[in-house]
Amino acid sequence: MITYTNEIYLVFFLPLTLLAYEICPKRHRGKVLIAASYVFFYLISKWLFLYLFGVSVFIYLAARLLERARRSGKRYGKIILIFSVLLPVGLLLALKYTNFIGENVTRLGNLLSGGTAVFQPWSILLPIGISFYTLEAVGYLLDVWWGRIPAEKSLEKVLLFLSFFPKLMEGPILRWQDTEATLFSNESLKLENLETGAIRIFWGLLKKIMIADRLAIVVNNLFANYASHQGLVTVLAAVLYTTQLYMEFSGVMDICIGSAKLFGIVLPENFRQPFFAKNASEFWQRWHISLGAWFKNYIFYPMSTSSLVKKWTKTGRKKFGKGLTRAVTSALCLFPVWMANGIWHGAKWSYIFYGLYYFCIILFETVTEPYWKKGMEKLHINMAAPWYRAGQRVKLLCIVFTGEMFFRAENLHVGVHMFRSIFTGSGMAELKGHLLLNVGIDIDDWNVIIAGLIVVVLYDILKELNVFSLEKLRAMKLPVRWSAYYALIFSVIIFGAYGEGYQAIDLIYAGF
Amino acid sequence: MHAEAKKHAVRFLAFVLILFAVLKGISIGIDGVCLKKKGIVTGRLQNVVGCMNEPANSLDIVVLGDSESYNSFSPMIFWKNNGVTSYVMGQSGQQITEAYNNLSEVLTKQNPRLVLLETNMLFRSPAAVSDKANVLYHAVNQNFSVFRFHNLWKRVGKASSSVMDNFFKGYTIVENVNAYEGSADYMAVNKKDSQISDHVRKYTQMIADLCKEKNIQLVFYTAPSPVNSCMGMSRAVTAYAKELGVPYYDLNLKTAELGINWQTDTYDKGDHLNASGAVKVSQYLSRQLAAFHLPNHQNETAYQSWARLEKDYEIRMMAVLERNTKWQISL
Amino acid sequence: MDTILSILNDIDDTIDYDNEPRLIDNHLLDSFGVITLVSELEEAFNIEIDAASMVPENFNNVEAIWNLVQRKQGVSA
Repeated sequence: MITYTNEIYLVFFLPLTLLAYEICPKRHRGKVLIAASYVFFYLISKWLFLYLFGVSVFIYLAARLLERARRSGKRYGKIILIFSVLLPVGLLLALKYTNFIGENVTRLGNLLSGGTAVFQPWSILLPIGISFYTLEAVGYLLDVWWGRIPAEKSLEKVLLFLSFFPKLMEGPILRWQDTEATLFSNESLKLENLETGAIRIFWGLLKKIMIADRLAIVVNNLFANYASHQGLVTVLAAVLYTTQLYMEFSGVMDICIGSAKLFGIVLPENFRQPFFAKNASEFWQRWHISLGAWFKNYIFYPMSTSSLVKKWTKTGRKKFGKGLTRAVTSALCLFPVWMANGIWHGAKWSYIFYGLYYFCIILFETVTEPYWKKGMEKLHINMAAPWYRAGQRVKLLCIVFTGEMFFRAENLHVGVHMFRSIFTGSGMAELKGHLLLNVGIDIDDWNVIIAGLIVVVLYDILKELNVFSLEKLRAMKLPVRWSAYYALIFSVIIFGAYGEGYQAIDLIYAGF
Repeated sequence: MHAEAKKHAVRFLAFVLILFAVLKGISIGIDGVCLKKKGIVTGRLQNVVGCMNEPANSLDIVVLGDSESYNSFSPMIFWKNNGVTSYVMGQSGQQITEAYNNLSEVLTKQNPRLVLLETNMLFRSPAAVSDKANVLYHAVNQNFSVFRFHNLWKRVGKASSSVMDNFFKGYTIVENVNAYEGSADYMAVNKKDSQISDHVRKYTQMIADLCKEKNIQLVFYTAPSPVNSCMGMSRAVTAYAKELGVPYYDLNLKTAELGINWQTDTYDKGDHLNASGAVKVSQYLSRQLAAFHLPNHQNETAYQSWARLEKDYEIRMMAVLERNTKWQISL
Repeated sequence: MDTILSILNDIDDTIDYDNEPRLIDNHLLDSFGVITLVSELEEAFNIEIDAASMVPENFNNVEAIWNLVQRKQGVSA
């Protein structure tokens, strides 16, 4: 099977696609990319690529109809919009949630009737990346409907937009207007792009196969044996999982963005040093950015400008005052966003809990913020002081670690158990008993993880301070640049967790 | 602009050349220095490296297979009984592609008379590796040890593993006993899919062709394993061996003759054989393989190290057998 | 213009609005800021801002916001 981190992709697929792209005349290059993307899709999901093709053609036609209806002011436009949005979303929901709903309906039935019926889950094959391109398709339709972009006349472009292989499996989720400039330019390969793209890929490989794949072994072990862990060990499991997820997801994003860059195509960034955020709401503007942006653009803003919310704001202000009105408005706009976020991740109560968890936290943050600010001013506390900022970060880390623990736990039950177990013991005895050397990796692996993390954290700090970044590396003197490249490449080759003794580890977000 | 492009192209080439030169340099270092040290490579590649380190043209038998192979075939017994030199090149979970790659690698250095293939591997679902990818892996692995042995850094500055004290030409003595309590008639139940896949057939054919080309006799055998074996598989291999014209010994059907006692001869409830099980299988096979008239090297001076190793083996093995079995099993 | 400035300062008075051309793109104004701004603008100028107008280009700086308000006033007038 092909995936962004294996040899099939890096050694065969990518170079061959680059070659085919370069030797093709400019006007056919888009077709090369589409063909490569469908081959990529086929290698993972076989004939299910027909689904993606069908959705693409449907979206293409629907967008053109929508535009015509909107221009002529026809009433049926809204009907087309609703239908064309509901179809892909409905299919997504049907494919992903049939078993979940079936199971819970059966359970509810059992509860009411005292029966013991067992739900037989259907085996449903999910086309790869469906959660990602469904959102892209819906975003595209809405933007056409709102007149932000014209409906695309070329089917080829729509096909490429939805299928482009670097973002097919796990995003970033594209917006038409943000990517069209480079996605369809079909420019010849440039050494400059190849260099930045390749080095970005190696940076991603470092995060993924040097750090995340080693942590995966530890995390699987700790979460599988959750029942025997308490206190610090449970906390450690949550912290390590969060680290693994960040290294893995942002690492794969580096590979995806780097891959696209090789062709001169600029994909949007999906991470922006998330752990530098000061609160949960800012965290989500820095973590899985394209998903948060999608929810903001296509759920949050439409909600906040909907007649329901506007009506409430008008009457609420008169009757209940500004504060309460603001609170209810925020809740009205936020609830659908976070419910959707939970459901989007998959058919599990844990994910729905995860969504609602952030809903509560962000709602609380938003509603209390003005009062908090006033309180701080009265107490003469400087909110820009380093110690205050540090406190904010610690609080945010606790929020994120807890959230990810529930997210990773086998089910909600296990999540609750783990959360409780933090307070039922210290876990010190286990740690002193060399637990960490008995979770599937040895001391050398730990050293690699720690060294790798130090490099990544330092890089994130320098990037946040705008002092250094991979992009800036290109402007540096040749000896510095080449040393950095060689160091990166050799680190990946020597310290990567691949080959004998290591199992290839599936991408986490490709499962959503 | 043109000059600029040229400069960039030259630099790019220089970068790649330096990269390859360094990779090749490290690889040569690994091959020439690291891999020669006894016991530096552990894990799945231990047997492969060990076999490659044997003096050229010194082996009569090379054994391929997964964990069933190196838990059942003990080369020292073949030395003692027949003066025959053998090496187990098996790896845990070996894929047929790996078996082929290992064999073609070892045949560059050795010219054995027999190649034994433990057949459990034939039923392993193939890793999704295309043929072209496999050829590339093989080429890269052989020419760039820096990839294949990239984990060697873990062993730098560490004492050689004590595992090596128990290591005899690809066979490691396993002392533990964990009895198999199931039916002795385990062959009657079909537990696994008994199909040999096209992928496996293709590579097995390649192994057979390679042997034919080098005038080597290929032999199939199946180690006794209640967990892994059944009649359907036995029949499938019998038919396949006939098709290839390869002799086949299914030892699951000979457990009485071998004297296998499932109370004492397995270390993991009938999945793999332990020391006493391996002794029984090897004694039996050494008698069977005598039919191939392999040379006896016992009196040749070049093979004195085998005699010394066999002494060491006997002392260790006897101690284990004494502890494990009520009946003294002779070596 | 002054009305817009005072609304913006109500939302966050630490930003120099006169000299900041990219309020949204530089992450100075978050989504809550934007919806507060929208409801204040609607109230102050008696306009309707619809979903289609919710793009960064309309909120990136004071001038863009002013243009948006004028467009919407043109529609309702």
